[in-house]
Amino acid sequence: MADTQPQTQLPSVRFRREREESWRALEELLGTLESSGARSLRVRELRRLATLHRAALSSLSVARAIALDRNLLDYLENLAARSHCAIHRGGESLLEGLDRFFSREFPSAVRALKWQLALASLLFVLGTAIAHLETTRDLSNFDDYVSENVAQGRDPGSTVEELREILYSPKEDKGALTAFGSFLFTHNTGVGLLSLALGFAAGVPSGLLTFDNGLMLGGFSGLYTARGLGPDFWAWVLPHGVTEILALLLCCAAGFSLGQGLLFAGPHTRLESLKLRGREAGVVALGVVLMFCIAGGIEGVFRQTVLDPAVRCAVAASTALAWGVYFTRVGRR
Amino acid sequence: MSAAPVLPQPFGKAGDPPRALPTPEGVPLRLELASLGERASAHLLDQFIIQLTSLVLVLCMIFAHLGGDEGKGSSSRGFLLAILTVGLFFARTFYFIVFEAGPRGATPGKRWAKIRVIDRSGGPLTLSQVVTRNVMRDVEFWVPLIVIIAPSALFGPDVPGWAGWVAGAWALLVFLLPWWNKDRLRAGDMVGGTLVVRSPAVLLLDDLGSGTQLRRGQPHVFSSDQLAHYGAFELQTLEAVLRRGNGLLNAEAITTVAESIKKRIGWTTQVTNDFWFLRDFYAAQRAHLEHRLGLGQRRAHKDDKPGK
Repeated sequence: MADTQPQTQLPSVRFRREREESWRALEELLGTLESSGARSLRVRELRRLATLHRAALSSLSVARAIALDRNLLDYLENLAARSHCAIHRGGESLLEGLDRFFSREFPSAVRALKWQLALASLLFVLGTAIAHLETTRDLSNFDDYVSENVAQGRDPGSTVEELREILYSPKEDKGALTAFGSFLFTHNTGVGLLSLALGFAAGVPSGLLTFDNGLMLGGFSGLYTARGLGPDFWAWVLPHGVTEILALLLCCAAGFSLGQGLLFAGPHTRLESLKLRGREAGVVALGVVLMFCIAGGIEGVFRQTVLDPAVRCAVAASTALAWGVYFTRVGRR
Repeated sequence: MSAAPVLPQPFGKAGDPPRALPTPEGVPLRLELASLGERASAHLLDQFIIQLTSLVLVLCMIFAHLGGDEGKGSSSRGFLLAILTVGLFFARTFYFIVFEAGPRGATPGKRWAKIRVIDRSGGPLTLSQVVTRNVMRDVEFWVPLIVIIAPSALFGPDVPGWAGWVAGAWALLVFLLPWWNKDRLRAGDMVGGTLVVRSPAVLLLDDLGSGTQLRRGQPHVFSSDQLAHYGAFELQTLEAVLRRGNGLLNAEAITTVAESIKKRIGWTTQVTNDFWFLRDFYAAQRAHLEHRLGLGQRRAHKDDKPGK
């Protein structure tokens, strides 16, 4: 070649000179997108973003084939990965996302878990029944099922009046009630999510935790029944209990599902099957946080202000009905 | 797909081979896994931020408890307490979720460590994936910690010793998972279907292969025999040396590299400025290697002789 400036003839140099402007433009759009979201871009800019993204990928592909400039290659790899992640996201707003979640994803994830839910319920009911029967048979068994800090002074030694006091003591202080409700909410959500995550140990700890919760409930119901306060106890526990126990059982069911995915991968590889189950579990985890929130609200405020057992039972029944309809009917195709 | 296919190592890069992430456009992306050190330091920074926020909230809570007199003020104090309790809970539970579901796919700690979370199969990272991977975090981080520090707090005093051992061993096993698989997945990544990769900020620097107006003196010209000694690895090592500039600090490296290149290619003419000699050699060598590359003869390093 007779050219006096061989450098400018380098294809990789020419390639970069031609395309650099579009990479810079993409970088700028990505900066806006990452810091202030897709909404800050106009339609024209979004279209341009898509074009520039494809151009960057094509540049990357060419650069891999023709260029040996390490900095250029690193830059393009990084730019392409960054724009890939920024572009391949669900572009919906928070409101649309919530709508999709509650009108479709959450109820159908729960329906997909119906067998696991049945098993969790069985364990829970079994725990409740055993503890109930054993406690009514011999009151001293109560201590085996309910730990001291949960019992809060309620034990076989308590008189009927003391027990009744807890069921029907109106609290005047609204602020303290909300504080109590928020504590219950955080505590229960923590336990629920733990039970879900423990599903990773083949689901065994989730089952144990659920059984244990059943024992605790049974211990209390046994104690109250023995003192002739059985119906009052259930009227006290069920208004929030329906939501709370259901949420707890859902966590356990999702935990079972994880364990199942780990043990019995079926046609998938173990990692794939875990991933499939995990997606469901994530949906359930989000949904139960809201359920615990509702339960905490009922428990912290409603239960302490409404004392009529009939009203309490009505509320319990209607929450049960509402959840039943929601999980079986909503979001079916 | 679970385990991403492995792309060839870029020349001259030590460490893990990068992972290829398929894209709908058909150009696989080359991603480097985040090291466990990077992830641990990111996590520690995040925990520090969370604990600091919690501490501030708890202090507020204590003041709310102390301040105000009994009776009238206690109701609003209770509400404040409720808000703080829930705030604390949300800060702890949703810190990771909110940040990782954002467009950067990274918490402040991860951004500082220059790593991010992606979907393992190259699809969009969904909220439920992020929730799952972070719900697992408690079991992986706090449970083993409690098992080690205060096992009785977790199991209660009545649990038989062997059960404690089994649970402890399992917790430790889960904690150590990332050491045992090649994609460094922790349990949350397995269940969430995610992968943690590096996302360094790479600046596009000047093209050293293009001619420059700043040069002094005649350009050095190399024969094709003189360009037949090196491969891409050496070229890119030279690039790294040149990128450090023509300053005093780099002068020794420049001289050393120039001398060894002159010796190897048999350069005998007197050179007035080693830096510009290297710049010219880099441009000529890159032109030569890229020309060969265009012909399908990729030469990775000096001992790699394609087509011979």
